[in-house]
Amino acid sequence: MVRLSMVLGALVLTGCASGVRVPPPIIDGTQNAGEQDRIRSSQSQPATSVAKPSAVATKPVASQTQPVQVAKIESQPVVEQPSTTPISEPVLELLETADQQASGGNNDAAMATLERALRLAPREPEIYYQMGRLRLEMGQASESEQLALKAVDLAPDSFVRRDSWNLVALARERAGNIEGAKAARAKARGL
Amino acid sequence: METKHRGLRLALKLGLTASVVLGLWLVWLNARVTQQLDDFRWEVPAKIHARALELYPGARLSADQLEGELRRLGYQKGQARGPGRYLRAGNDIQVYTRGFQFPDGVEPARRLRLSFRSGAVATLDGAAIARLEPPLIGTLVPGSGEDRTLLGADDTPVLLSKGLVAVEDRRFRDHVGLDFRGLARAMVANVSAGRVVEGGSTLTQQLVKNLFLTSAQTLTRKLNEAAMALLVELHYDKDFILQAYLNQAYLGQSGSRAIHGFARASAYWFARPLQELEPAQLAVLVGLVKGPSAYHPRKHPERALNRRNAVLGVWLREGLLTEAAHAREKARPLGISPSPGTLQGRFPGYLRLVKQALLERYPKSVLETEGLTVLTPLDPILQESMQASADARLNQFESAGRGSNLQTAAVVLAAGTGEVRALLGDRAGDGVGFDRALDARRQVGSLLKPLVYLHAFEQGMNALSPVDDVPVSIQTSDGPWQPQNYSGEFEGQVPLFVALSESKNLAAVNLAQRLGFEATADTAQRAGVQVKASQPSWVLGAHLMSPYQVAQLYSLFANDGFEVPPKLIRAVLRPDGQGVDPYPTQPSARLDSRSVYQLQQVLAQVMTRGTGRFIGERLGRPVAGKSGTSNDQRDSWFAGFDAENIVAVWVGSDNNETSKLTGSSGAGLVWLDVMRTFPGAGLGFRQPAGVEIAWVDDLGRLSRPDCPGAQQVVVQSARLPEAGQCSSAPSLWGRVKQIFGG
Repeated sequence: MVRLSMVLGALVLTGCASGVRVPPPIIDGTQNAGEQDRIRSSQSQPATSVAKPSAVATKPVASQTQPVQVAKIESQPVVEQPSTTPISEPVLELLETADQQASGGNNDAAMATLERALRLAPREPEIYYQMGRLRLEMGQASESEQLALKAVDLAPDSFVRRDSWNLVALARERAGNIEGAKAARAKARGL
Repeated sequence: METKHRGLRLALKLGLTASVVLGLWLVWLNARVTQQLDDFRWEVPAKIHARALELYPGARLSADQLEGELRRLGYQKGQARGPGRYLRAGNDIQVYTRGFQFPDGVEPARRLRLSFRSGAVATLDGAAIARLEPPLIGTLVPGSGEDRTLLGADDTPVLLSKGLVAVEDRRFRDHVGLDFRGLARAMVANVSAGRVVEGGSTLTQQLVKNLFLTSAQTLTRKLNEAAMALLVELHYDKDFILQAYLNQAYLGQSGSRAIHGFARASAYWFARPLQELEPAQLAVLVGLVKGPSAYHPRKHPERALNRRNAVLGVWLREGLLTEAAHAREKARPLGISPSPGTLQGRFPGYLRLVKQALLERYPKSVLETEGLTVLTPLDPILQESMQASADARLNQFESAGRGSNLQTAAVVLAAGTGEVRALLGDRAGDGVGFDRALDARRQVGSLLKPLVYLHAFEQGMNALSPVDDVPVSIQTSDGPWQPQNYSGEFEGQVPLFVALSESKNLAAVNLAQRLGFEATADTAQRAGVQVKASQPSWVLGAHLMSPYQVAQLYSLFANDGFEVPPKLIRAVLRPDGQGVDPYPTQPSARLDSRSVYQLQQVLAQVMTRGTGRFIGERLGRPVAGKSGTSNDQRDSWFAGFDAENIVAVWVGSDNNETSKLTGSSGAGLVWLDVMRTFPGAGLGFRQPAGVEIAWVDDLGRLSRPDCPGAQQVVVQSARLPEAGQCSSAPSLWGRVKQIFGG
């Protein structure tokens, strides 16, 4: 559970650190409203909608067939801001509670707390990661692997992704899948 | 002499036999008494609860919605000085919660202060996150029909136990189970009055009668009652007997459900826990002992009030109430809640499914008797508004002549956990009969087209890759199949995102043919849709699915390619903290998350520029979705999602009549109403590793920002599109920038 405290600590820094991140070259007219309940998101939200859709739409267009022109105007990817937004206060509180419960040996209660956190933040990789950790402790390697894979998918940066791949590797090792574990380790090293 | 001896012997024999019979009888009675009371295991049916309302800053909940929930839970308006009370001033609510034992630990009873702004909790004082107790929505009452909540001695108000004794059995603490003085006095009173005016039954006798005996007024029964009362007093102390009485007393009838015990009765008559009742309300309950139907507070409020006042009078006389308290309590109205148990029995369709799910894990007898607490994810606010709006929409369609005998079914799943937040299997929502959400399998129309495009993304195509929208003829075992576009026209070649968002039939069929029907069907099967490659018309929706299955398919898209089984139960708690049976969330990877991400983008475009545009515009926030219309408009479908919910809706008729509804103009409007109950959830897409944003030309080939007509689109890093004319392969520096930038 050392990792959790690292995450918690890192979060304090995220507010300023995230400004360093280069925003992706994405045109995004739709702010991710789902992240609005993330308390500190407003401070740390990099300016995403720099480029307006119209900027592309008004570009000179080579004469083409009709359907393709339609495409040019409207094919903006709906890509939303990858998550650099910190975890919201209530979810943090629940992660801490789960951490305490797990350290006190009450894995069942910790899992139940993480379930509760997941209802608040269904795409928060940290929750899946912690669930995967617990499942591994509880001897459920294949469940752990899937939860870790979910954390990999949702990971906002290469650090979280690397930790998650390492957890995948551990779970696969525990399940006797040595080749799979090697592959996961390679993924982790590549990040 | 001989005869005399013989007579004596006979008498002796008879006497012996009689005492043996008597002895056996007592032993039998004794066994019955101790067996039942030793375990003290009353039949306590499992209680089924809706979700607990979570309170935290940012929670999408209005002050009105919170107040509505508090009212349904029986919270009283007033100074929030104790559990079960709240105070509201405009957008500020103070509430003293009741607390609850949750699977993750105890939620304490505590005072909270909340403020609201634009449909969400703005601030919360008193905790970082807190929750109300989960509303009770049903009990699994056994065949005996007994519904009860077990009441422990610690939770029993003193006024109730003392007040009950004062009214029903004043010498309870002194007698041995039978009250001979009381009996004698009752007989004198009855004889002098010439009718029965006083009963001489002790609480012990009443308990025995209720537990073991019929109500027939026979001598045998009276003898049994007396003997058993004595035996009970022999084995158990007075406190035990009183507690048993408090749990056994018959205090009301709701249909076939008999309301037993004061705890259950408090919820049934006042919609509040016993501990929160005023003395006057306790007096109503104690008064009911004499006859729950004669003094029925809802049917005969005046009789109930008189009876209550008589009880209050006894309490004054016995010194349980002061003069002042008596005067105050007597002045109170009856205070009965207008409907019993507020939310109980309101969601029969959902409850039936929960019961089915429970039976997969627990024997029926355990569910009906062992006092389990079942926590479900049902959201009553959502369920009620969904029921109401679906019915209103259907009425609207019918009166506009756009269909007749319309029916509907809808499912709302929570993203991430797969929790079933609401479920509609019938227009009336009464849950009687056929459940269309699970059991009605209908043609799904265009709802399966996304699977074709998902397969295309898996094969390295992107949203701008060209797709042929031209007439096609396919040889099938049933002869040639020549599908048409809905408009009857075709456009030659269109970008992939146009083909899907405008739901072009010919484009989907051409694409599936080009990629191979076999391989395309394989992708569908991995997504859990059991289509046959040999019957390619599934591409256009010639495939039967239930709304529940459709919701599962779309939850696979919403959950980034991970399957999460729908969940009707969050956890089951055994009584007295004896443990929790969890129903954990367990995602498992089914589809390539990069391709699903590309699909998500286009499903969002359906709502901004395609067949869902009308709905997307009216909703006014980003969502992803797809309409479906079966042949001759027999079935109208809409399925889609945002960051928090997956919603699938079907509208049609049970006998497969045609209608004038398309997916968007029928089911889409119900879908819109459901989505509107969650303001501002957004899409929340997360870009997975292995995809990037690339500049491509109008044929979906790699390009450069400075090339004419270049646009950005999501591509898979491992399957970059081929280079277009303007772009030589992107420079190394360009690639590096893309990787670190995206």
